Amino acid sequence: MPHRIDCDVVVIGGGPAGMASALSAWNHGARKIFILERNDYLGGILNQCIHPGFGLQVFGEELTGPEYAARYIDQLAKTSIEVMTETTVLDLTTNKKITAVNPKGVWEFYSESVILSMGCREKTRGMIFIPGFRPAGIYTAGLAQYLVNIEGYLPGKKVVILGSGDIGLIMARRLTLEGVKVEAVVEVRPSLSGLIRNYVQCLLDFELPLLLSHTVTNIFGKERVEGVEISRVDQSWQPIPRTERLLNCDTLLLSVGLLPENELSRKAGVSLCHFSHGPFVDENFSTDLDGIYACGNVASVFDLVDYVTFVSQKAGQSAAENRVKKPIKYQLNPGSGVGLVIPQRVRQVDDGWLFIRPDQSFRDGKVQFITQGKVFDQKRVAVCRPSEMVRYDLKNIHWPEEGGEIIVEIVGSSIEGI
Amino acid sequence: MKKTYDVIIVGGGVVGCAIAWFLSHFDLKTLLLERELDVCCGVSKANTGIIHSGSYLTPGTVKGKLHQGALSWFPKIEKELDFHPSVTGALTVAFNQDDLNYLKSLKKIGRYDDADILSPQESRILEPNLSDRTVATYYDPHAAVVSPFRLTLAFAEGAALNGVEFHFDSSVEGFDLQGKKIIVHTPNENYEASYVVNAAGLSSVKMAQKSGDQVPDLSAFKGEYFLLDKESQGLVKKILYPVPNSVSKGILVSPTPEGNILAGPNFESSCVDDTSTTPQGLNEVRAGAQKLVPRFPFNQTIQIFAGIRPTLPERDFLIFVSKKHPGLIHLCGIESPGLTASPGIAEYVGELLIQQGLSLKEKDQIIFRKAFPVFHDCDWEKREELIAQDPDWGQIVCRCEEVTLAEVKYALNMNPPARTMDGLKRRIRVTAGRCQGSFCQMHLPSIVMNLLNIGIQDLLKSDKNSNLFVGETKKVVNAHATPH
Amino acid sequence: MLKLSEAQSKESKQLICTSCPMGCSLRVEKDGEKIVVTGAKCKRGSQYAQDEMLNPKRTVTTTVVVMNGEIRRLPVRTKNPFPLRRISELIQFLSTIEAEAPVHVGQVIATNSLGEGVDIIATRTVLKRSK
Repeated sequence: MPHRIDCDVVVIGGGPAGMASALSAWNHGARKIFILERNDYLGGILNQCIHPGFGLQVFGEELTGPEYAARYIDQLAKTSIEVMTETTVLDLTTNKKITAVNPKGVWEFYSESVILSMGCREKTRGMIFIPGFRPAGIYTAGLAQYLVNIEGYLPGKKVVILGSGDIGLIMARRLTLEGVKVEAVVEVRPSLSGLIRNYVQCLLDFELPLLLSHTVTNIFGKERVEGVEISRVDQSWQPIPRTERLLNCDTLLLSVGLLPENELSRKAGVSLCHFSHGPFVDENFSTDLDGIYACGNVASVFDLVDYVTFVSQKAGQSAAENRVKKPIKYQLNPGSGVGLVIPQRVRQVDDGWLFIRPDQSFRDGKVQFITQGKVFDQKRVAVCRPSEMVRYDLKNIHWPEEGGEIIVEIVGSSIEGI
Repeated sequence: MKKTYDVIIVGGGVVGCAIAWFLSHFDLKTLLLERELDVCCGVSKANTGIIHSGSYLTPGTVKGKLHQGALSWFPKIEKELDFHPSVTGALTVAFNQDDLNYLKSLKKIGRYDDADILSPQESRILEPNLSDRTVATYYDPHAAVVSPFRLTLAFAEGAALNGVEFHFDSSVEGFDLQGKKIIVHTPNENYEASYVVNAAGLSSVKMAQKSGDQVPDLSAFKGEYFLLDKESQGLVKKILYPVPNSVSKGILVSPTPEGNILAGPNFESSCVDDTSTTPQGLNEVRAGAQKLVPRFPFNQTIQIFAGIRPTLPERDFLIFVSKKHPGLIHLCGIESPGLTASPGIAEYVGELLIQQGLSLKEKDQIIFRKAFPVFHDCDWEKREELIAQDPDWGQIVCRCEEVTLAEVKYALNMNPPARTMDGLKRRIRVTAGRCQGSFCQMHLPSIVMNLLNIGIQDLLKSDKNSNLFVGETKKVVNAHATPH
Repeated sequence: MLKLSEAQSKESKQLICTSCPMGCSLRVEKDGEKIVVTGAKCKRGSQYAQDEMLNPKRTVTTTVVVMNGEIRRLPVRTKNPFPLRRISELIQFLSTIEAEAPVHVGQVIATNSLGEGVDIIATRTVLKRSK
């Protein structure tokens, strides 16, 4: 017989989202809380993010990933929240029944609330159709980061990094500090994907080249990477013929996008949103299924762990309180200039936030809120980039009386180059 | 001191392993030599994995005859190797009158009573995602899909269980055909055998020519593939074949036994060691897949890959006894339907060996292979049972494919064992899922190093030079760390 | 009359300011003791440019070998920003030291590294390996 556990809240995933939501549920009165974590440690992705950039908003300090995780691990120790590590959830039903396995057996959880906080995974070579051979030496940047930082394994001696998002930039610096030659960071867009600070401190500080409007169009080497072909691309990201160039290297690092990990959400029948790739959530990070909540990167890739903490606290509170929900008043969709909005469903606007991710870099921008073809509110942004979500308090937006579909757009001048 | 065998098989692809398994039924000392570090590394690694039914035999050819012979072997394969193809059935799709005439010819041959020509409406009841330009389909319920890795490994395991030796990293450089016995040269050792079977796939023609036999030059034709996420399971439930053209069976869309969807292959000129995918090749496969399934969800792609066909001008299997030595048998040009025909080819090689004087005395007892459990395929009761027997069944190592530590240990210890990441992939599916190793590769390297007691320099993806890592951090002088 | 050292200390740099998302392009010129910043749209930018010219510093994070721990690498950081120009020396130094488990987050691994008055601290707790 499987072990059976009845409880108030089960949190799937013990990274920053899981820890913050579990603590919040505790602080709002829930008592029988379980965190189920597949690794044998808490902290999730924070453990490998050994660089600073975490906690400025939550703690007023700039911490490294592991330090940020430590704060939550310490807080957890002061509660009787149960943490089960080396435990992998393999099934979740619409009725919130969870089935998990670990070396001690099969576990079934029957819980009032379930919080999905499984994080995200990385886009791979096959998903972006890079032709060529399939040698050893092709790594996604996050995997390389884990191997270098936690295990101490060096993936290669000479690296080309595809993608100038923050993970790619951070790894450019990390590898350089470990004696690896970073040949170039290659970016398909005409502008930097990550933070300017990372461009300066990871690339400029070490004189590492950034090639904008380029992509990798072939991989050479039968057994181990021997080089990659890069090509210039046009506005639709299509390679321009006769612009091919060979870069010698033994490693290709891919930093080409993150995908929320929603296999369990799908199993449960939670409705998924095509632009965030995570569940549809409301301002309390409740999914469309009663008692199931989603927070952190599983809902949408957040760039700041501080934002993950904030939304996870909302989810934890909602899970503890499990209140009857008011009907959905507004359905939000991204329009021109916007990659995603989260939450996509708003019931009440007195509390909580709206996060918006631009789909390109803008200067002198205006975020416009539109209903029935009319702009009902707009807010200025001097500069906004895909790497940084724009956040507004819901109560600071002048919502229309009548509910319905709201489109969020950004207009402004495109930034080319850095 | 040379090691002596009755039979040496050169090549550990599906055909070499099938021959090994076949011969393992007899009282013989058999050795299989494989150039790479594992079985199933050449042609057998990258193909459609289809067991073509008898409807698709090419009559009057060696391939047709051996394909036919092979089909009767599958019940025995199921019994003795615990290997079970997924019988999905197939639809051959006609888009015009010429195509329809081909379907009619299939119907006329009438291999199976329950195969029939279906109308577009009937076809789309079976396959709702089939193109609405379909004029008719030929439905054959007997076609099946297999994992080519798992079939090759089943043959190899069965052979090893019954005494066949497997030596890897043993590239055959040449033969000494002067004496009664053949001397086989590899870089590390020389072997001696009464009979040698050249099943070296893409290298078999060169090997035959080198031994002095007249064989036409090999042409290598590449076929590229898209593999879709299991999310797309159900897109098609049967193999969809177009009507074959003059050069190949065409670009198919097929389910795989594990629940993925496969599209491919195209047919393009290449060379024997070029398994790279190309933009043009991939575009051809796209077009072919979309012809059958207009809304083929390429955005669900998790991997693209290519395989090489070893083709001879006659486009038939060339299996013959060497003119330079009565104990040497060559197998050349084993392209499609090589996978399907493999047991039939093995049986035919057995006949040739008898003809050449080898005495095949059946063993009294054959050890049957029992497939190791696949956690992913077990129900919850079975999973509980497994974990209770061994806690390693409760440790998930690969999230995408639900593979456990127990299976990793099995794969490293079985015969023939996995010694590379790709070897693990072929046996237990790690790195074959949607994340393509982003999760499992975090922990597997350390796990493998500990279990095999090897160092970082011995962790390989596939071949000898495919090191995963170049070393450890802190052990390299950082010449490039100077900020300006 | 300029001293030789001052005459030699004429320098200019093109910078991107990282103080806020604007990312203004700044030019900073040093002529002896005088520093001129052009392109800054705010005080933080001017200050940033001056700091970068006179004494650029960075928080440096890396790992060090840790013995007998649950994991094999301990993540560390400079407690305070460290001179940019000496980072490679620091990294070299850190590749030679080994920590011993247990180590606790915040624990000082090395003091006053390279005489720059900056400590190196652990950023993760690594307990002793149980086996």
